[in-house]
Amino acid sequence: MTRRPTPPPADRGHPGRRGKHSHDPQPRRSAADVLAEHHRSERGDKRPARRDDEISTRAGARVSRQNAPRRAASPTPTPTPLPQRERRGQTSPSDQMRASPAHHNERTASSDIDRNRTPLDNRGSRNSRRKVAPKAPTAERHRKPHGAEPLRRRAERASNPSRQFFHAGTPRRRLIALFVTTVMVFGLILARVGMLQTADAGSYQSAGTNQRTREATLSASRGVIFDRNGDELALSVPATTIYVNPKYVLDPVGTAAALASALGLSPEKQQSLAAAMQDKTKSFVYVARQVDTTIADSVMALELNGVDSYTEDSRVVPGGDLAKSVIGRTDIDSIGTAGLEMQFNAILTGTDGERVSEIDTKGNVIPGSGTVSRSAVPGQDLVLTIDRSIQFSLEQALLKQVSSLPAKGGTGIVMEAGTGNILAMASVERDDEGVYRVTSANKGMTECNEPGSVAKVITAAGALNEGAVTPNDYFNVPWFRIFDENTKWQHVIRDAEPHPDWTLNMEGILVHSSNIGTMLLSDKIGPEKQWDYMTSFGFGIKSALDFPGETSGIFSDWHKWEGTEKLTPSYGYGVCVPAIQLVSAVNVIANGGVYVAPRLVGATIGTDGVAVDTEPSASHVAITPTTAAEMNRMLQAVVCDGTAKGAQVDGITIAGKTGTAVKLNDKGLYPSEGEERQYHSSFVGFFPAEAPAVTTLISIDEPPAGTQDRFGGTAAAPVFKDIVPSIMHQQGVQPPTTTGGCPEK
Amino acid sequence: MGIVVASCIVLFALLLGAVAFQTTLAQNQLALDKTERDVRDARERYDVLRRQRAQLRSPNRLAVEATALGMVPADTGQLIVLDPNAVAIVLAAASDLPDNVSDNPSSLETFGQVKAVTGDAP
Repeated sequence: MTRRPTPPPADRGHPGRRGKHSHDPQPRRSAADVLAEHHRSERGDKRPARRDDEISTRAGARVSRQNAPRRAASPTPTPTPLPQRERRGQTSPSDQMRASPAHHNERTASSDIDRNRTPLDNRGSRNSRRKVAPKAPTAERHRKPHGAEPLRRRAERASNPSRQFFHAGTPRRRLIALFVTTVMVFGLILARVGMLQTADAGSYQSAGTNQRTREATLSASRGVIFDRNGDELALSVPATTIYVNPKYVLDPVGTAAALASALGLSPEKQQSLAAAMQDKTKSFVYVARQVDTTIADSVMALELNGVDSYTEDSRVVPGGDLAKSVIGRTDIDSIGTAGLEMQFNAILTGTDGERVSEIDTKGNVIPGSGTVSRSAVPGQDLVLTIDRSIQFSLEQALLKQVSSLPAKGGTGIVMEAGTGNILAMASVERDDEGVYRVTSANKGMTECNEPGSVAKVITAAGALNEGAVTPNDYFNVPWFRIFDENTKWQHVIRDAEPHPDWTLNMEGILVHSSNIGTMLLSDKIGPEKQWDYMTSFGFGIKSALDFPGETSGIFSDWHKWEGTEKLTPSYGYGVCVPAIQLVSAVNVIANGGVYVAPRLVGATIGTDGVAVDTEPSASHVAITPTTAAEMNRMLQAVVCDGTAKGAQVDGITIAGKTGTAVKLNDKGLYPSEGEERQYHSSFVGFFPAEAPAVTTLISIDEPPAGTQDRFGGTAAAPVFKDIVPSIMHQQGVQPPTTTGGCPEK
Repeated sequence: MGIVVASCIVLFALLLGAVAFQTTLAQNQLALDKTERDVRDARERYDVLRRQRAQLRSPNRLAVEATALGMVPADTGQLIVLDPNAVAIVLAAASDLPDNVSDNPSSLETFGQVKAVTGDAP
């Protein structure tokens, strides 16, 4: 160790100036140098003091470290003119070195110097470079004449070809080579930097970003489903999901027991949870998803090791089973799997956003560093045409009737006459345990049945609209008739009950719901027109609702009709239609002859919070208004005088038509004589008949076959009667006259 | 010497200003985060309250409550003519005025106003 010598008093005030500008020709010696020299002189050592900046070469000579690297890097000695000082009899330290005996070994010694250096040596070398000035020439360095030995060595090398191998060449070439090499290296570096900044920038940039940031998904909230009055039918609310990391669980059995107690888990779930927590290879196990926040808070308050939670949206249906066959459902990840939730999943589901936060070295988010890089866009909301109160009334009325009959099930659809808006749509059925429930399947759209006598409305309207029949035309109507007699298509068609031959006009045919009379009407227009009108009334065509699982029914082209197939569709057999098609068909009469497609979604609410109405339902003219008005009058007679008396409501004029269809047996055939029959009974009507506002379908599946309750007028019409007051109240329907209802007779 | 001192003072002032600026930024960011949390919490509470409101207004619940009070569905109905003034008085007393009469926004309008403001608050 050497200590920095204290500068003389005259220099203390300007150390920097001295070091930079002044040049002391006398080498400065440290106190350690002086002491070391004094010590050597006391020992009788005549060798010059070894300085920190001197090192021993392999030949035992001393080489100044200050000069050694410079010499090693210098080009091959070439005859150069002697410095001016030498000519004047002076020598510089470098000249002395060049003239020293050890100079010939200098090049090889330099490598040894580097190898023999220790870190301490290097440090001393640096210090000595700063402190030690060139020393005055010593006697030893004057022992040999300057330049003599290098000349001799050059002569030796010239005479010895083997040593020319080590000739370093000309400095110009080496400089050029060094320059080219340097340029190439820097060029490569520059090219690589360019690549990193352009082509490969993305990956490195993302890698760098990933090291210091963390992205979190901002879940977009799923849209709400409203009824027509703004009451929520389905919405998403925050819930808490509890999970466990088995790696941090110290007592799996005890933890599972505590969680089961707090969350009310079943013993099986508790056992499986304990087993899952014992598997330390897993780091994530669900305990309970989307539990109530208060319950989750109580669980988290237990502070169980490894148990944690996070918040996610849970889909909630506040009305319970209300309209569930229409709304459908979502899975636990809020993806629609049935009903409108499935059909409109794309617009109900928003677009997730992203939040970027900076993290510390431990991976913890730095507070205040989070920024929303991409905002979440909430899903659109649906405003249905459904009226929650009417829906409830319909469901309750169906449940009451189906359970009291009892029947297998029932379906109801309430439609706004002018717009086609569905106000309610429900199905109920008896489950395997004999309990009647609202179904999750929308059977009014996914199942089809033979409409039975309700289809006679279309046949009569078609015949009337074509002018083939007038209301005053009368027909002789027997109770049965044989068609295509003596052919392979021979078939006997009967009315529901035996009766003597009737003389009936069109109204009479409808009032008595005569199959034979309706076929006589159909005969007037032929199968092609029959098919045209039924198609125009919406049969066989999937509705505009495009509801998931919706059926178009079975209604083959009239060209394919054979035998009785040319006749049976006129009174509702040989054709299978879903309830939505049937109610839409009868609504043509209520709507003045204009078919209007059913509509279930009235508006959507976007991100701006503004409700935008959906397109009005498509419509077309099916029959003339005159025909519709005439049919309206006849259907009022059906309710007042015919098979639909059970649909009468005091003070309200009702128009409608009943239908009682015999169902096919398990073999797909109609039951033979004596075989037990099953029925599908229905009533479709509208009110007030003077100015129709609402059309409603009620169908009862498999009412008691052996009773009078099997008919549409007795099984279905009473349900219609039950819900009319609720519909009128909710819709604000005012009877156009104070003398509504059926005239007293 | 004076220049050095002045430079030091200026440098110190600049550093101090930078620290103060960064501190203000951090404070504002924290305040912003808190506001965002408040908005999110308020929105979640809004959703929860809407669910509760929907459940309370649910026909199912009303039917159960009515049955518990001894009410039964009507077997028959009768249409009578009411004085429109009497109807208006009753509606006003029940705060159930029609939308075209009431100044209060409908529930759908209220929802739309909230959604337009909060959207999907982070």
